Amino acid sequence: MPYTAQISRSNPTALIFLLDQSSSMLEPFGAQPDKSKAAGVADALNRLLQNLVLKCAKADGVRDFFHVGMLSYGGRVESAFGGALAGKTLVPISQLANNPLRIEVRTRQVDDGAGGLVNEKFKFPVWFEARPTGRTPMCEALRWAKEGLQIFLGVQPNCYPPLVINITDGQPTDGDPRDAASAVRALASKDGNVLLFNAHLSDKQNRPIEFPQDESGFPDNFARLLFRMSSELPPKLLEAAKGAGFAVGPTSRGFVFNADLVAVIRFLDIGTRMAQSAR
Amino acid sequence: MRHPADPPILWRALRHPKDGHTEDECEDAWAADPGAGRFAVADGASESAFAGLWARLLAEGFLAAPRPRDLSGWLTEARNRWSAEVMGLELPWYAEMKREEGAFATFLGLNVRPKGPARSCRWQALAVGDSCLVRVREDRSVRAFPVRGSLDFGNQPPLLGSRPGAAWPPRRCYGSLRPGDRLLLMTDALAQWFLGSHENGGRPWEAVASLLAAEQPQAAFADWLGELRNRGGLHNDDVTLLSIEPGRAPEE
Repeated sequence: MPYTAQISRSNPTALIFLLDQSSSMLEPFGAQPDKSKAAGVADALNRLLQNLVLKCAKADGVRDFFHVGMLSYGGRVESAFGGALAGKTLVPISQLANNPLRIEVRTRQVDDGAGGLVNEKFKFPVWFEARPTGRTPMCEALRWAKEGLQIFLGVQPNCYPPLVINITDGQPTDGDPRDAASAVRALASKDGNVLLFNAHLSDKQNRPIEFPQDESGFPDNFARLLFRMSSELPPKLLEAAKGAGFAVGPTSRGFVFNADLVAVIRFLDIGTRMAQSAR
Repeated sequence: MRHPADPPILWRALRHPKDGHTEDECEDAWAADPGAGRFAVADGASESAFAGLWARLLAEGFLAAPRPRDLSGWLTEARNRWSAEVMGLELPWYAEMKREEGAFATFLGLNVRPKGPARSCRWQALAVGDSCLVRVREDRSVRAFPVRGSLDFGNQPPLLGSRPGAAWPPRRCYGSLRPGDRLLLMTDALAQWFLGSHENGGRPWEAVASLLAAEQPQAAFADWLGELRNRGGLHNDDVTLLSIEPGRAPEE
C-alpha cells in the first residue's frame, strides 16, 4: 500500500517549500492589516521548521528523518537558505538545526496564575527571512524542486514520498505551471508519487476553501488552476484533516484557497502530519 | 523482606533496540532485585529527550522505594535525580527546549511477596502506560495487565513525566505466583505481538520460553526480533522482556 513507508534515519524523506516572494507579498493579509503576508508566512515557516527539528531532536543530536529544502521565487528562483546553508537546495535536518540564521528572543504574554498576564521570553530560531521583490516565476521554482527531488529519490528510492508545499499569493508570470506541477507529481519512490500541495494567500476577507474535493464554489480560474496542480491527500493525512475538523472526503486535495495566516498554519500542520510517524 | 527459606525467584531480562539504532540508543530500561522481589520495566518515549535516562531512573527508583504500592515519595526522588543529571548541561537550542519539556516514559513495577515455603507467592503490580505484565499459567491461561488485548494499544499511552507536576494515577493489579507460572514484563511492541498471537490461537509463551532457554538468549532474542520485524509481525520499537518464575524451595 502506498504512503505507508516508515520514516527513519535509514529511510528519510524530503520536504520542500516553494515560497512566493513576489512584491505583492508585501501587502497584508485581509484580516490582519498590520502584518505583511511575507512576514506572516516567514513566521509560520520558521515555527514549522522549529517543530520539525524538535521532532527529530534527542539529547545527543538531531536524527536525520528529513531532508528539507526552501526555494524562494520573487524576481528569480533561488535557495531561500542563508548563512552556512546559503545556496543549498536540500539539507539534512541536523544541518538545519545547527545553522539557523540567528536565534531571536521574543516575548509572549502568559497567564500568571492569578488572573493577570506576565511577559515570558522564548527563543525563536530563524532560518527564513522574507525579502519580496519582483515577479512570480512559479514554473521555474517547480522545475528546480523536481531536479532536487530526482537526485534525492535516486539515493532514497524506498522513502515515504517527498512533499512539496507551494505557498503563493498570485498568478505565475512565467507561463502555465500545470506541466511543471505534473512533472513534480510524476516523480515517485516505491511508496508512491511525490505530493504537491498548494496554499494560496489572500488579501481579501473571504472565507478560505480548505482541502476541497472538487471545483464547485471556486471563485475564479486561478483557484481551479491551483486545485488541478495539487495532489490528493493520502489516507493518513485525510484522517488527520478529518480529526482536525475539516470537511474532507476521499478525493480532497492538499490545497487551500484564500488562506489567512491561521488557515496557512492549519494547512501546514495537516500537510506535514506524516512527520509524526518518524522514528 | 524475603526469608532465607523462601523459594528463590528465577528471572532473566532481555533488551534490544529498534532497527537502525544502537544498544546505547535504546530507551527501554529494566531493573531487578530478586532478593527483595522487586522488578521493573520502563519505556522512554522517543519524542522526548533524556528519555532513556528517565526510564532507567524510574525502574531503579522503584527498586529502592520504601512503599512500592504507589508512586509517592520515590517518583519525586527519581525526578530530582533526573534534574540533577541534565539541568546543568550546556546544550544546543533544540536540546534545551526538549529538556524544558521533560522526558516521558511508561512504567511497570512488580513486587513479589513470598508467603513462606509451603504457600505460593503473592504479587502486586503498578503501571502507568502500556508496558505490560502477562501471567501464563498451566501452559494456556493468559492474564494481561494493564492492557488486556492487542487492539487496546494506542499511540498515546499515559506517561510519567520527569518535570514536577501531577502524575497519571497508576493502575494496580494483584495475583498469585504458583509453581509452573511465568510472569512476563514486556514493553508495548512485544506485548502487543504476544497478546495478538494468543488471540489468534497461538502459544507465544513457547517462543519466549525457547528464547530464554537458548544457549545465548540475547543473540537468539535479537535474531528472533529481526525476523519478526521483517515479516511485519512486530512494530519497529525498542523491546524489553523480563521473565520471572518461582524456583524450587530449598531442601529442608
